[in-house]
Order: sequence, then C-alpha cells, then structure tokens
Amino acid sequence: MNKYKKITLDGIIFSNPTFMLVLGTCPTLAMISKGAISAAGMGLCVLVVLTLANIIISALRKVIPNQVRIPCYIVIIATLVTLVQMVLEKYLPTLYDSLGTFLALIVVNCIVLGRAEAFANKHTVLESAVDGIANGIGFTVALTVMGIVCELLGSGTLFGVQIFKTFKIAMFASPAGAFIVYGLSIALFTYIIDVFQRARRVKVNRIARENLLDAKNADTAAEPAEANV
Amino acid sequence: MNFVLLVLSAVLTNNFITVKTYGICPFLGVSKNTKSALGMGVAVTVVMFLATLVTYPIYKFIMTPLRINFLWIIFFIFIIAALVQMLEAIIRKISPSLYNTMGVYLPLITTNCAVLGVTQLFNGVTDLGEIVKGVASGVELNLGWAVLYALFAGVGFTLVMVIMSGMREKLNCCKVSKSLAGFPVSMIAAAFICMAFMIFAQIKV
Amino acid sequence: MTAKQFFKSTAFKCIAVLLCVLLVSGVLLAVAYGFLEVTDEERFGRKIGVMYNGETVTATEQDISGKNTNVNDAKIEKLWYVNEKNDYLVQAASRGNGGNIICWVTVRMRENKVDVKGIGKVLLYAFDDPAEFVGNIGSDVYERFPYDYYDGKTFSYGDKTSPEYINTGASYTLTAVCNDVNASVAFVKAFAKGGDISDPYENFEYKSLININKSSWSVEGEVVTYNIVTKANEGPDPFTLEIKVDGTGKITAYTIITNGCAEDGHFTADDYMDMMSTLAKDLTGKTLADIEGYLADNSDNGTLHTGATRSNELCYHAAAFALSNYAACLETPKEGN
Repeated sequence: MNKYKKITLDGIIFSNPTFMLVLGTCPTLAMISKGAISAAGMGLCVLVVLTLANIIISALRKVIPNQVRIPCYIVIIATLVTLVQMVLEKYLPTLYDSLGTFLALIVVNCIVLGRAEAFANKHTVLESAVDGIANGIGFTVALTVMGIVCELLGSGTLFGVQIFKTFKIAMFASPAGAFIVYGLSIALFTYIIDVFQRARRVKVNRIARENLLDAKNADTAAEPAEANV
Repeated sequence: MNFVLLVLSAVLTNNFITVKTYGICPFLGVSKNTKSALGMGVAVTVVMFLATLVTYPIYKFIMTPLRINFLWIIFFIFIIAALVQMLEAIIRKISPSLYNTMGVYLPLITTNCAVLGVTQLFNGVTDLGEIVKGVASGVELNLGWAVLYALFAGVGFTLVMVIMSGMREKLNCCKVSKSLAGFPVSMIAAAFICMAFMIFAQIKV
Repeated sequence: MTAKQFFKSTAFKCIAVLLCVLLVSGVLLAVAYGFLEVTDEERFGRKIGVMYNGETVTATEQDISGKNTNVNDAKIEKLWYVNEKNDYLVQAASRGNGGNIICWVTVRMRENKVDVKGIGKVLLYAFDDPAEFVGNIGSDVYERFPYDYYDGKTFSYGDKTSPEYINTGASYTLTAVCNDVNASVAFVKAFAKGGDISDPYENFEYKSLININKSSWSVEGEVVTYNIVTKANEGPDPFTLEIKVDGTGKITAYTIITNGCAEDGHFTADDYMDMMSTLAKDLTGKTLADIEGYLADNSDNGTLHTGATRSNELCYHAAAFALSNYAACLETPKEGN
C-alpha cells in the first residue's frame, strides 16, 4: 500500500509535472490565459489520455520490442487523443472550441510520452494506472489554480461568473500574464516544498538524534549493569 | 501586398511563441546561449517548412478525398518523425560541422508542438484570409502560401528564441533568489518579450 | 537467412508489432468515427444555437433566389426556417461606418406560420474589417430589439430625435443594425405569405445615397418640389434639401435646409455651409446631363473634389435623383414621413 501512496504523492506533489518538472508548458500557458474552465478542461483531457496510455502501454510492455517502442507509444497516444477529440467535439462542443488546437497537441505533450517512457514500460498495469491518475491530477490542479488566478485578474470572472465589476488587468488574459503567473507559481511551489522538506529533514534528524541518544543512554545504562555481572 | 501581410502576421502579430504559445519547451530549454538558440531556431524552421511541404498535399489530395481526415494526428506525427530522422541522417552524412551546430537539436523536434501546430493550421482551410488577418477573402490558400507561412512562422520562432537567449545570457550575470532561479525568472523574462510583441497586434496595413 | 529465421528475428517482430498497433488504432478510430462523426447539419445547428442560449436546433434553408432581397437599406443574405421553434432566422447585411454589418435576426411566427409574432433575438453575426465602433454596441443594446410585433414598428436608433435613441458613439453602426432588423421583419412578413416585397422605387435612378423613405415630393402643375433627405456619407450627416424641377428638365430652385457638414479638422461648419450654398447656386438651372458630367469627372481637380468631397457627392446625387426620376415622381407624389 505504501508503494501506491508514494506513487500518488510523487505524481501530485514531489515530481508534479507542471511545477517540479516543468513539462507540457505550451498547453499550460495557452489554457491558463483563457481562464479556469479551459484550464480545467485541458487538465482533465490530459488526465484521461495519460491514464489510458499508461494502462495500455504497461499492458503491452512485454509485447512491444524495445527498438520500436517510441513509434508504438506515439501511435497509441495519438489514437487516444483522437478519440478524446471526437468525443469532445460530439458531446461538449463549447469546451472543444475553447481548447482549440491544443487538444490535438496533447500528442506531443512531454508529460504523456514522458510517463510512458519513464514509468509505464517498467511497472505493472495497476501501478501505471495510479501513476497516470496521480500525474493527471497534479497537472489538472496546477492548471486550474493558475487558470483561476489568470481569469480573476484578467477578466474579473471565476469559471465564467462575474466577480469584480470593473477590475480587470487585460494582460493576464494573454500569454504575457500567463508566463508571469506560471513563473511565480513555480517559485512559490518550490519554495513551499523546500520549506516543507527542510522541516521534515529537521524532524527526521531530531528523531534520529533522540534515538541515538536513547540508544546511548541505554548503552550507558546497560554498561554498569554489564559491569556488575 | 498579401505577401507583406503574411510575413507580418507570421513573424510578428501571430508569433508562434509569444502569441500562440507553441514550442515553449525548446524556448525555455535550449535558450541558455545565443548559439544553441539560433541552432534550434533554424532546425525548427527547416522542419516546419519541410513538414508543411509534405503534410499539406497529403491532407488535401489524399486524406480529404478518402474521407480519413480524422486520422490526421497519426499521419502527421509519423510524417514529422520520419522527416526528422531522415534529415538527421542526411545532415550527419553531408556536413558533420552543420550537424554539430544544428543537427543535435533535431531529435528534440519531433515532440515540438510548433511543428505539429503549423501543419494542422492549414487543415480544412481554403481561404488565406482565415489564417492571415487583413487579406481580403477570395485569395485561395495553396501549397505556396502554406509553405511560406510555415517558413516565416519559423523565422518568428527563431527571432524570439534569439531574443530570449540574449536575455538569459544577461540573467546569468545577475544574482537571483534561490526559489526564483531557473525557470521562474526565465518565464518572467519571457513575459516581457510577450508584452513587447503585444504591441504588434496594433499593426494595420 | 531462411524464411524461418526471418520470422523468428527481432526485425520481423518489430515490424509485425508496429503494423498491428497501427491497424488496431486505425480500425478503432474508424469505428469510433462512425459513431461520433459530427455532420454538417449538426455543426450548423450548433452555430445557430447561439440564438437560443446554446440549445441545439435544426434549421432548413429557404430558397430566396428570385425574391427582392434589397429591403430598404439592407440586403437579405440568407433565410432559414428553425423547425423546433417556428421561427425564421434571417441573415441581413447593411452598411455601417466603413463596412458591412451583418446581423442574425430570429423572427417569431404565430401558430399559423404566416403571421409575424415578433422578434426573438438579434445578434451581430459578422462585420467587415474596416467597420469600426462595433465594440461600442454592448449586448444591452441588442436586448432592446426583441418584442411582440405590432404593425408598423420599425427601429431607428440612429435618428437622434427618436425617443429611443441611445448614445453609443456608434450611430452609423447602430443604424445599420436597425436596418438589418427592420428589413428582416419586413422580408419575413412578405415571405411567409408566399409573396415578395415589391419595391415601389425599384426603377428609380441615383437612389444609392438617398433615404427614399424619409424623402417626399409634391406636384404643382409641371413643377415637382422634392424634399430630399440623403443618407450619411462616411463623414457628413444626412442633408435635407429642397429641389424644384420643372417640365423642361432643369433645376429651378435648390435650397439646403439641413446642412450635414459638421466642424472637422479642416473647416468649420460655417465654412462648409458657404461652400454648399455656392454649390446650390451653381446647381440651379442645370440639367441631368450637366450633373452626370460632374459626377463622372472623378479626377483629382474635378468638381467633386473641393475639400468637401463627400458632401458634394450627396448634393450632386440629390440633384441627379430629382432630375432623373422627374417623370415617375410627377405621376405619383409622395407624402412626407
């Protein structure tokens, strides 16, 4: 169970594809500048493609010869993206329009191919599925949060609902604003992780030291006893 | 006149990096110094040009009559991958020095959204005016226009890459706080380039 | 290498796997496409869904070829019947400030499908690029159009004397929108009854810059007295002119009642009035052939180009209108509006 917890935490926080690895930057920037709905929609599409691709690739990992693995992965991913595109166009045309060309560009999103290459071809189906969902959630949450920030500042709305009547900084609804929000988000995220890990390290060290001291005390307490023997 | 509009649109007003946000990975990854940025830019331009030259006729004259347009993602990505492999092999054979300056960036290009982005731009478009704002309707989009657009989109890409690398070379000399160092500060620098390019949206011909 | 060796080799395995993956993907996508294909009708239904708050509807295009599609100042471009709603959707275009303003208007019908009930929704569908100021017209303006129809209701927000006039700073554009709406209702009203809008002034000449609806003419013996209201002409506002034409085909009097020229960077309104008064004097006594000569002279130092080109154009057109339609106007006087 601990193994799945680690995969999940890694995907969402410690190697978050958006903030820690800085992958899939093109759709991130394009979608957060368009607002929270587009950003969340893009995140969910990647989540679906990533999870399915991970499952299929890890299921086929013993069948696919090493020499042609990359072309095979690309075909599988391209098929999944085309499927998602078709479903969206049929049932959610407004989201399809707002994602625009970036829906098809999920194919060349480094996150999907990266997880296939780095994780799915070495792990079991279940582990790969968990990894796909975790990374997808990490990506979706990151995009949604930044999308909310950009939308609030850029057009004064939140998921399309008017929040501020007159306040709006149009720059944040453009790639320039997206770059600033993304850059500062990475800085903040790495800072928080840094502080968190330092705190954890201090805690671990303290526990280790206490254990050591306990052990020493135990030793010193034990020594006279031994001496008595 | 249409040519001037096309060049302005592809290089400045609809710049692939600063307006469309295509190809950000190499933009942030390979812009540490001007030489590599230029090499990457030229490599991307060449591949964009060749990819459009191949995919445009295939989409228009093979996929559309057969009604298999929905397979375009698979087709295009395979064509681009094959093209990049071939180009790499050819350059390595013909000119090792060119390979050292430009060819090493080629393998990275297959998964560059700028290339797939420019090829898909022309899917199902019949009028040049739909791609280049300001061109009167009625000018038919043909292979020539498509290839020119791809070429100048690549020029615009290279331009922004080089500007970015200049900024990053300067940034290397500055002291940046620990959590801002690396990607965050590069992105904020990129934001300023984007803002500068926003001015070009005002161009009226 | 024997055939057996080949089938066991890695190369064969690679090719076989790659082909299998490709084949399965292709078949899967083809099957999916069969279920999920979005047809052209569906696409169009979605497009007109904006007229019904995103609801998907189906529409059948109506044949309007052979009908008179030039209604007043607008042109009816396309017409659909929206099956689910008993509405007609009209695409109408008219000229705003510098470019065409194309609107979509839904005209609601009564149950008998013949009588117009009212206007459902008005949306700006497209505009030519030089059309400026379209951004000045907010959605609240378009929301003022829907209403239940009663005979004779027309919109004219461009008319500053109208109580419904809104100052948007885009009066030409708004006038174009109003023209689109008025024309849509008028066209559907005639179309649903199976008829056509007859244009009583169809054969009139030089009417492109004249607002015939607002103009009038009366007859006294051989003399026709015109009260002509021109259109605006990308700069000057409409002129109101009184022109008398007698039986000999000459202008006997030419008076400027309202001067459309406002002060601009070059001249004051008074300067313009002087210029126009001189022009009015010159025009008195002229025949149609003279005026046509002036209008044809398009050279840089021609008659039209005095520094008030567009106003001159309006005044010449009014004169040409009065002269060329003399015979028709003599027969049927038109009451003022």
